[in-house]
Amino acid sequence: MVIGGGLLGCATAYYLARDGMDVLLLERRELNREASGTNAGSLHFQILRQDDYSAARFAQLRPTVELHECASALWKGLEEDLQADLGIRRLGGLLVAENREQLDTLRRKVELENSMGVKTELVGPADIREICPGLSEHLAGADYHSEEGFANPLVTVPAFARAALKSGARIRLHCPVNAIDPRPGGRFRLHTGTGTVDAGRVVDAAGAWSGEVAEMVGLRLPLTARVLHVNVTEPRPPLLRLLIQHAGRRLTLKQKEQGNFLIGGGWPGRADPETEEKTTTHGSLAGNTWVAAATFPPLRNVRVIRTWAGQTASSPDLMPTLGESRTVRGFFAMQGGAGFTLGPVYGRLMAELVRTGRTSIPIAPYDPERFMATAV
Amino acid sequence: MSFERSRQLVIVGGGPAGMAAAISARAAGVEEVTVIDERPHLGGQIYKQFAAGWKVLDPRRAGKEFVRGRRVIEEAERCGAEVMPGSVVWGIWGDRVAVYREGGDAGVIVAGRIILAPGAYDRPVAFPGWTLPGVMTAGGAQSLVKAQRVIPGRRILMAGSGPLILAFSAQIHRYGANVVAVCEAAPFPGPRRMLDLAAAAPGNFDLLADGLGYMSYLARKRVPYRYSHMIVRAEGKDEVERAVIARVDEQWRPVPGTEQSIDVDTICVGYGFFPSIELSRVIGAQHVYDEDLGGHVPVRDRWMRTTQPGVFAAGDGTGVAGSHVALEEGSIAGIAAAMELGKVTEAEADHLARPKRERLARLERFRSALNKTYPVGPGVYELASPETVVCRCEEVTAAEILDSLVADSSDPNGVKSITRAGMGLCQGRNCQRQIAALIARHAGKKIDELPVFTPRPPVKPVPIDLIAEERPEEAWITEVG
Repeated sequence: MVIGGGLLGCATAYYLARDGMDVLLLERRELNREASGTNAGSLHFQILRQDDYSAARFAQLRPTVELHECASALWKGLEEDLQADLGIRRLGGLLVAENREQLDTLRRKVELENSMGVKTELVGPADIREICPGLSEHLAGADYHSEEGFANPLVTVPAFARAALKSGARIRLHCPVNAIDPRPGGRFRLHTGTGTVDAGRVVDAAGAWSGEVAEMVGLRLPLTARVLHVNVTEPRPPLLRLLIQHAGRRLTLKQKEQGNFLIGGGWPGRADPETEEKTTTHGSLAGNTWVAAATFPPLRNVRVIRTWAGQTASSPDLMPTLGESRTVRGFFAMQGGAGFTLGPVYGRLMAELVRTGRTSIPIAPYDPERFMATAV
Repeated sequence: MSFERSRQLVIVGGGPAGMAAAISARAAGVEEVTVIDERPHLGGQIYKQFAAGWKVLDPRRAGKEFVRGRRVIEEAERCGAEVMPGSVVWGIWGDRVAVYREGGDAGVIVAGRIILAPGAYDRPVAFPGWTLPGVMTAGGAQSLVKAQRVIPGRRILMAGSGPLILAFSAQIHRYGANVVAVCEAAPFPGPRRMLDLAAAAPGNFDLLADGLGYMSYLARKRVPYRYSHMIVRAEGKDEVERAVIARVDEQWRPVPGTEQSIDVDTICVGYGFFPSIELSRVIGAQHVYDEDLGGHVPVRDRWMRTTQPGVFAAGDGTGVAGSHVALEEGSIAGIAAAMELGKVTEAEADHLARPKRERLARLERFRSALNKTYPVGPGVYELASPETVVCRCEEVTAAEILDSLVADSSDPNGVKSITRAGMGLCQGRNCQRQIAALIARHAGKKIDELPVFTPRPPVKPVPIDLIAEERPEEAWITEVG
């Protein structure tokens, strides 16, 4: 039983069904409606921009390098595997610095990345404009990874869902899980909005709501929810091939195959606490587009045609969660951390774990019970 | 580049409803009134004035609507309200109205009260060939004729339903257009409908006389007026060469074997209007669905208040009812805003609004009779073939839309995500309802049972150089919590 119709849930359902497991996925609303379908679709293979560039933080991030390497390989074969066009373009990514201070930070970041086997390089202003014409002349340098890029989050989850259905999985929409009773023999009874269902194992892939689902079996999975704002412009002829990020400001910028620019990077949106309806703000629209146009000036005369806001969540240590509960056997939890890039990997590892009890990549650092002892 | 100022009342839209609201709010004592409109002049679509370079020597010859419109426009210009022409309201957050001026600046007006009077746009109808050059909306064609005196083609088929297609057929014929035929989807109004209309006529005599005048004009000029007929297909290589029409039943569904081909180079399609509800939805006001009013319309009380405090709505943007209704509704909204701003007491407001309410009730009777004469048939949504492009911005066909539904989903938002239908420059105005209708038929549901596209600003495309503003993201995050 998989709870949650986002990327993690649908990918897990697909890999489980493909390997012959009987899978039922429950989604309280529609597929791909929250973070999985509302992120900006960046594929990050250098280490994400951090607020904290200390050696300690990098030591903590070290195991995730393997996840990203695995993801890089997985995305390469994903379109063929799922028999779908996922809009993947991986022509490189630049994390740009606009001053000396940011450049010094990037230099340290590149050193640490290289020491962990991440193939990034520091490039100077002249190289930046060669790699990516159109970028601002005022940039000081950038951290460059040649295989970064983006895919289309809007079609990725539906593609996983279709492939899962084809492999025999079942998907039930508009079916919220209200309570989970552990039953004798290590089984579970799920009380849903449309009746009760029994399951041998339960995978909690409820994204920003995975803490609530975990709580139904007494597991503590603290998450900080955030609403992020993304902007889309009208289509223009091809001007930008790379994924652009900024070392000092919140920015991701890319031009999609259809010509539209996608401007995101973590500016806040708002959520109505009652209806859960997400809205975008004037401030984020003005601020995010300013950073984008300052970094890539050709954007100045382009018009924004849409914005959207989506719910994401992160754990207190900003690390992913993936594993089986030690106290409630048969209950598995997973929660993002570079969720779009790593989603397919999380799904595959979870399927391995549920099926065989082992994973091909160590998941100890992502233990779902690491917060059990921490104070509320 | 950016401005911020406060006004007691901001009115979005300078058509009949917006102008009437400004006039009545000023008369009731509101000092600061600002009317914002996208067009270079007040008047809206219905009272559209001639384009720059034209000079009117004899207003009477420009038509009755023109004269009526000019009177209202002059009154609105003299009433002391500030007018911001050529300005686009692209979002509203609480009491903050975000505006940009084409080729100019952008900013925010903090509004004590807001009246939405955004008007309506042509109901798009997707049939095979509807994207061929030569197919246009009746409203678009009317605009060409009104503002520029341009007749859009040499052999014109008018296809649609209701008073507009009748009036417009007569008007452009009068300007010398070769109207080959008029197709009215509704059946010839039988004696019962005629009686209904006549019963609603007292006090609405003008409106009825207008309609009868247009009918007898077309009959005199021997323009074929085909009741129970619809355009079902436009054909041609690079542009329209032929129209295929067919007889339809009361549900507007074509009767097999009645197809007939007419050589034309232009097809004007006029099945009525959709209210512009983008702003009323963005502010979170409650809406209800009424096909005869044009679809989803904001819920209002007798003072034209939406369910969102401080925001009123009037005119065709709240349900398509025409300029006469819009004028009365706008006046009432203006009085109500003055009342809420403390410029008049409720008793005074009631007194001021009474005659307008009486006229409104009378017009309402006539409109209701008209709606019964020209109800929108469900067949209007069923003309597209699987290969017909439904979303023309992103070129998505009907078949692609239905193929994209995963599992038992019937959510247009999912379709939009997967196919891009509704993501283009028109922001879904042209295709949203058609997509919903396709899914509804597929899933055996009603259109109004389906969710609608999630409304978010910008409600109109907005240039980055006008709205981009440096601000620290961390501080902003703290600010919004």
